[in-house]
Amino acid sequence: MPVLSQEAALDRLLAESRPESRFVDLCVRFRRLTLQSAAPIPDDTILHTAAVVEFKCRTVNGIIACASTTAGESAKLEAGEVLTWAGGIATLQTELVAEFGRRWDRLEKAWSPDPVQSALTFDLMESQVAITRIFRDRWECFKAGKRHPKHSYFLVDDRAGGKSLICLLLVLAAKLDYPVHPDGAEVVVWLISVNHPASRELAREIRRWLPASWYRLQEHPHHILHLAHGGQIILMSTDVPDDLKNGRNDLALLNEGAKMSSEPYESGIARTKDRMGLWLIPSNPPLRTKGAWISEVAEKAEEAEATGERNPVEFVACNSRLNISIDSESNADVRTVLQWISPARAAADAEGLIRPIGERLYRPPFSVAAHRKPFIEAEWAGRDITRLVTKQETGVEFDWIVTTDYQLRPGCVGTLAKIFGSREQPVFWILDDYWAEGSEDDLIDDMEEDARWVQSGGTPRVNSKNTLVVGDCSGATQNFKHEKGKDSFSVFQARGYKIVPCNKPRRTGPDAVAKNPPVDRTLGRVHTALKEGRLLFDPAAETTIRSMKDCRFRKSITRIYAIGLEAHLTDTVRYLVWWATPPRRPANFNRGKIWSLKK
Amino acid sequence: MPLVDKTTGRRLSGAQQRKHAALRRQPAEQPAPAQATPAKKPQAQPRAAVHPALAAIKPPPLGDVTAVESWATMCALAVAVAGRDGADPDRLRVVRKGLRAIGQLRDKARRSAKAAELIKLRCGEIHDLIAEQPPANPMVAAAWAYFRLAVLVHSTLTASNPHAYAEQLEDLATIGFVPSKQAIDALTAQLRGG
Repeated sequence: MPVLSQEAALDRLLAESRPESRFVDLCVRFRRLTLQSAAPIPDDTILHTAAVVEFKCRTVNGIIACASTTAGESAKLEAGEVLTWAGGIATLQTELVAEFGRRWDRLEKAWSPDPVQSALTFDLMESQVAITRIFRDRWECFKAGKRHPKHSYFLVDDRAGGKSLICLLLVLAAKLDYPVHPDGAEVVVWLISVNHPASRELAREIRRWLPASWYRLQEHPHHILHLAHGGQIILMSTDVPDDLKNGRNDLALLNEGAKMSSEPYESGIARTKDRMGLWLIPSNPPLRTKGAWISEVAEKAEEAEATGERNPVEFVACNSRLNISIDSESNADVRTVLQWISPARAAADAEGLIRPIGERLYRPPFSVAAHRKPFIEAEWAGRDITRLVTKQETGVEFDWIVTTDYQLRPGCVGTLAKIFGSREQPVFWILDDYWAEGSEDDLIDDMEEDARWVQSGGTPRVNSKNTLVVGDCSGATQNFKHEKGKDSFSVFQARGYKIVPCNKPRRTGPDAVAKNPPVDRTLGRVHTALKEGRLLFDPAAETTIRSMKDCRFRKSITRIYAIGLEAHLTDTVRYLVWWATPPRRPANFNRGKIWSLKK
Repeated sequence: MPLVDKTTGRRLSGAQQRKHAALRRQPAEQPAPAQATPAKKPQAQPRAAVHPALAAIKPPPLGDVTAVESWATMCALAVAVAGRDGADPDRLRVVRKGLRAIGQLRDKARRSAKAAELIKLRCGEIHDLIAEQPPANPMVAAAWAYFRLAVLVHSTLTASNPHAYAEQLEDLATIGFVPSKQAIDALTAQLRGG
């Protein structure tokens, strides 16, 4: 044993044994500070206490939240302190939001029954209050061994909201509060950063906020935070994500989740199953593909909330607008400049909006939570205008519309639809989709087989008598292999279907051929229908829903092109909306002339 | 170089060689002069006065290892000043020996003092580290020796016969070579385990 370790052992034993250092108050209190004032106080007003502690305030939802301009200075103040400003006086109010830990007896290695004499007080910013309350309740649940519906808490918001700091302090406080399970097993806590240099930020905050007597930071051979009561917190990096597969875990802080792939999260959360642990993930909204998993989780959570399905994650706001220490005017300046340079970065870093990574053609406004709904026939009974629309557009009434697109690869696709509501504001329901890796004939077979519907107990819906096919205009001149002289439409016609192109030809005449409406012309109608809730998708059309969600686009100087495999089914949706939506203001040929040369 | 008679060129006899060796030794170690009649007793050589820098050194702050180290540093400074002024090189030689021993013993004494405090707090066993008599527990011996060394060095600074302390300093310094490390380790292991 090296000499240093003998000395350290003696020091530690002496610290445990001396009456003055035997007890240590391992207690963290989280307070919310507000002001009570007869007169309203303008935002960002500076107030002073008698001891010349400087405070700043902001009114949030009718409450005057405040914080000392120097971090930590307010901790020594108690409720009732009088603050003065140019317009009068205000009284400091404190609310104890959460308290973790007690007085620790180093000699007995147990909590002392004596009351805490000097707790570490952390005054919350208004942005940090919500997560503190949520975590307090969740931690109580964990300690009691009760099941809780939420497993992971994502604090995804703009920069400077104080997300990482509050999550770090909550994790530290939780470990201080509950070092071991009643059965003697240690509560395993991880602080995970994208790499070890990044974990120095956490180490810096630990050194800044925790009293030196509460901890020891070990850096070699492993990064471990040793707490005064013997508990350990492991500082990990995601350099080797598989390392997170080791052992059990009860609580973890995954700092800046958007900077890492989903692999650490995937590997790590499985380790919390043993004791119903939880994770905190503070992050800015992702801007790179690496962090796209956060957007995915956000969307899935939103969908699950909308549909009432199981949702084990919660997204908690922690916006810098509620961080009083941040100057609101400076914040606005930064936001403005970012919007000039990079709207995407402004949305993420200044607004805290979680957007899908990469540009999507239909998202927003498309959202699975809003537009994926089961079609309930009874709800729409009496409002079906499919026959009316088909009559108006083709002269023949049909019960169903299938819009189709023909490709050799990935195949011929179609969507089954019905139209409801009024003719001026039609509501489109996409009820099913077909994807035939083959020719038009194969697609028709799929349509007539109607496999999903039949498996759910129905009889095939589509046949040549009751279904109008709205086709990709190129199908009138070429087939699915793009072979000239053979066309896709004739296959449908040969099997008895009425098929029309999705667009009208620009000129009349026997050789007039319609061209597909370009994306940039039709996109407006689709987006409008989505925004107005007039384009809905039954879960049976799952592939179409996924395509609507993920369809990407490419821009040229004058055009927008839908690209990727997702473009095919979404094209059929776009064709339908374009084909069946009347012009917003149809031409009125009976109207009197407004402009006339005659006087 | 063998000792030879300068007049005859022959090597000295054994008795003559022993006489020479005794003359080269420190005065304190020289054999006592043969008894003489009181009338013929020569007057003892008066020692040079103690250098003011040495005389100004206060007694060591016993009981505090760190404070004693600082005190020893001040002693070393005083010795340097006295040495520069050419004061009593024999005295300074003995004092330097003691200060070196203090420096060598410091870390062991610190751990030993901590062990003594631990034994007092956890086992109720009290040891007086600044007593003249050595302690019964070997774990605290290094601390005791450290403080005794400091006391002796202080005495040497102003003693009329500093050579009388040289052996004692050597003896106390020797304790530092056997600081009961294993015993302290066993104590800490026992207390940590318990």
